[in-house]
Amino acid sequence: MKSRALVLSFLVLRLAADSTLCQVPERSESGLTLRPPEAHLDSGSVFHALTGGETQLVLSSDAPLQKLAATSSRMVGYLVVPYDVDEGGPPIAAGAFRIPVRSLKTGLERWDRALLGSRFLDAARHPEVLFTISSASSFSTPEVRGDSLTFTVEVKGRLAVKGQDVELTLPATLNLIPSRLSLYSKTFGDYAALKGEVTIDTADFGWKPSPRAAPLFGSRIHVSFHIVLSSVPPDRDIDPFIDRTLHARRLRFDNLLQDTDDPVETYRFGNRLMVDLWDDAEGLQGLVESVLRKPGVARRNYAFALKAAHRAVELSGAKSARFLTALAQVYYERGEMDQAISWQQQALKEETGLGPRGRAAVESTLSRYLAEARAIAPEE
Amino acid sequence: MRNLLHDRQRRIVPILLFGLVFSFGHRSSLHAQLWDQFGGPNRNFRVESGSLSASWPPEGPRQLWQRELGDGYSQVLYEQGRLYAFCRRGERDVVVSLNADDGEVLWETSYDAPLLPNQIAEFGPGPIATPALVGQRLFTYGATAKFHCLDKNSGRIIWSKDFAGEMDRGVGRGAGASPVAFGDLVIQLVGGRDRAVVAMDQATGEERWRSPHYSEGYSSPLIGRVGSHDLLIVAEGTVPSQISNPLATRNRTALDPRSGELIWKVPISGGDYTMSILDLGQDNLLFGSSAYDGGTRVIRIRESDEGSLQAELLWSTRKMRIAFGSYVRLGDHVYGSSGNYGPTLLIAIHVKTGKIAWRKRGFARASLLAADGKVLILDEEGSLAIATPSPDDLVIHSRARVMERISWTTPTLAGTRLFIRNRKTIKGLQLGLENPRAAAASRREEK
Repeated sequence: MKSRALVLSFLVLRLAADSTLCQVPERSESGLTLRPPEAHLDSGSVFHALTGGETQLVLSSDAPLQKLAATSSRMVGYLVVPYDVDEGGPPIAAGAFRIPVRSLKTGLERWDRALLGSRFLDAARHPEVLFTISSASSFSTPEVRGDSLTFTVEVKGRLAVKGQDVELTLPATLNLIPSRLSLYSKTFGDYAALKGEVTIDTADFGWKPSPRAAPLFGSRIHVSFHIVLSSVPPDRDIDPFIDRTLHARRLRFDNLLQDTDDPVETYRFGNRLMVDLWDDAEGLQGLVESVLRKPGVARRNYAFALKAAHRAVELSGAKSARFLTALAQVYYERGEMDQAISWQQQALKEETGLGPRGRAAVESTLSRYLAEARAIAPEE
Repeated sequence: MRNLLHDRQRRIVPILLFGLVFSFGHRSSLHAQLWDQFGGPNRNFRVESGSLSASWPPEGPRQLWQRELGDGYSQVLYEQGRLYAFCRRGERDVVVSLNADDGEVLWETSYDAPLLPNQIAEFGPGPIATPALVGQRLFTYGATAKFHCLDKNSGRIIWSKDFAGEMDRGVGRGAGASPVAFGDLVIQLVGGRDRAVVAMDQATGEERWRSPHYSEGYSSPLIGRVGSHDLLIVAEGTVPSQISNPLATRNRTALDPRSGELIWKVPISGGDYTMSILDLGQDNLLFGSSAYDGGTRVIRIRESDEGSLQAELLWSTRKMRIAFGSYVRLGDHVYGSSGNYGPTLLIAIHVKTGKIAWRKRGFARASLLAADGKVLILDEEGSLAIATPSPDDLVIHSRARVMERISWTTPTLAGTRLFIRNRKTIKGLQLGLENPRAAAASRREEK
């Protein structure tokens, strides 16, 4: 009886603890946005973080003997700004963000690996850092510049790292900039930008360096964030006739490639997508280019890319220089130089319609392949 | 003898009275069944109708018929049991007249209309502009800037003009302003230097006047009256080459429809990529809204003691931005679908103050039309709803998916029949109150 009561008490306490945990909505089908709950959607305009572009987050330690700065541009999330924010009241009603741990890059490969390890962020068990905003207060009237508003705010929320979450209050600036033609290169929507800085104590997340290690690792992390958001979700294509489901899956594949370390799931998803794109040369080419060229991909499966690239070339009748050079590059990455050179040469044929600049670029790459092939050929 | 005459009078008078009542009632019901230009008979998306059922079965209102049509976004016209639709098949513009009862083709006329060299067809090749039905003539303006006058009974082309061929211009994403009639003129916003607004004789096409430089746009001009003045109100668009120029002016203007003479002009600051639908209320408030970095603006027009007109901006806001859907003004509120690529909301806004009364989620970009004290809402996903709007709320009575996306064209309501189209198909729906058993029997027959 006593042990049963203890177990029950533990469970109750555990549940109570869980209820205070950072609750961040799940990602959308594309993986590039989150799914705000209905209550958030009714609270105001939802602005979605523009992910994959500029740096959104910079973390740096205060260690006296080692300066590490990790950046991420892969944060996804949203803010809710009340509709009539210009008439007073809190400028932020809610918000939530997910930061893939794998997206944090120091520029030093060994530190990138170390950060993912169990000693630091333990990406295998906690692949994302989570942040929710519960409220924001503005202590002064907004600064008005034309039709843009700037609020100085104090944001309250919860930050969860490695399964531990803490309450956070941090000062920030919120800029609201309505859509304008000159900004369409970024997106068509209205903009919000949330900027700020905060210093957090690593001990709050269960990590404290030993006295010997302290000069190298520090015990506080300075977080600087600059999140640009848009009222148009990043997975929204303005082409009204696009197949939205396929488009979302296409984006999801990129998301799996770049933000997860799960090649099994990534390429299982990719294979299913390839089946649906089997008669779509451009769609297949997109898969090839993602595997070949997207930054931060944990595992580039060139067998997968080869299958898609060959089919794209077949569908295009071998008349697309873009498809042919991508196929050549896949072979190059696999170390199959003869095939790489052969397909690259194919791209120079007249029927591929290359202009002078395109031709020069293809020839340059071909020269590089030829030089490498000669360099690695066994000496006679 | 006197008694006999008296008796005959007693029989005849009621018959005469009945005839008068019937004829008046019939004319008003005929007028109620008319959609002869962009926005309906009054160019404001408000029509008289029969009683519309607020309760639909899950599959939606009963479909009367459906047929393939062709590409384009023009509204369908209706008059006396006939529909007039403007579409495109391949490289040809097609004007077709259909029997409204069953969708059968009565006549069809087409002409070559290859896309212009710089025409951008990312949203389709058009046509965009809605024709105008005036007397026995039907006036069409295609996306490639070809203007035609046809005989509405036979489809015979009476005269035509090619504005793109005569003048060197681009049509952007397709010429989109709908023609409007005034007296014996048909007036078209063409755009560009020296050929901006063109007024033509309806019978012959002879050009009667032409206004000076205008930026072309997709906004359809409006004929209105303020005091003793007839006005042709035009929303100037954005010349593609000036899109990035924040200093380029775009104006709401009013011209004398008889001469093209400028009466007033109100400059619009900042960007206003104009697809704005204009509405002039009885209170002489001119409402217009556009998306992108546009917004909603109300211009107040006043007649001075000397009889001249002045116009000034009363208020503007970016909290309501209508992309291309129609909106309706009922009383002091406008009800419309705001938003473009981001979230879209149905919004009620006070015309005199710009205060937002309410916002509702749940529809993609939508077009509205008002009839029978209700609004019909058709969103681009093909979802149709019937609702009762008020300054306090929007009560949705029924909703059903009736069309494939993309449904960007405002439906046409004639009586209790609704005609909707997208880029491929046209269909007729029955929205009137029906005997449930008869309706069910009709559905079984259709299956």
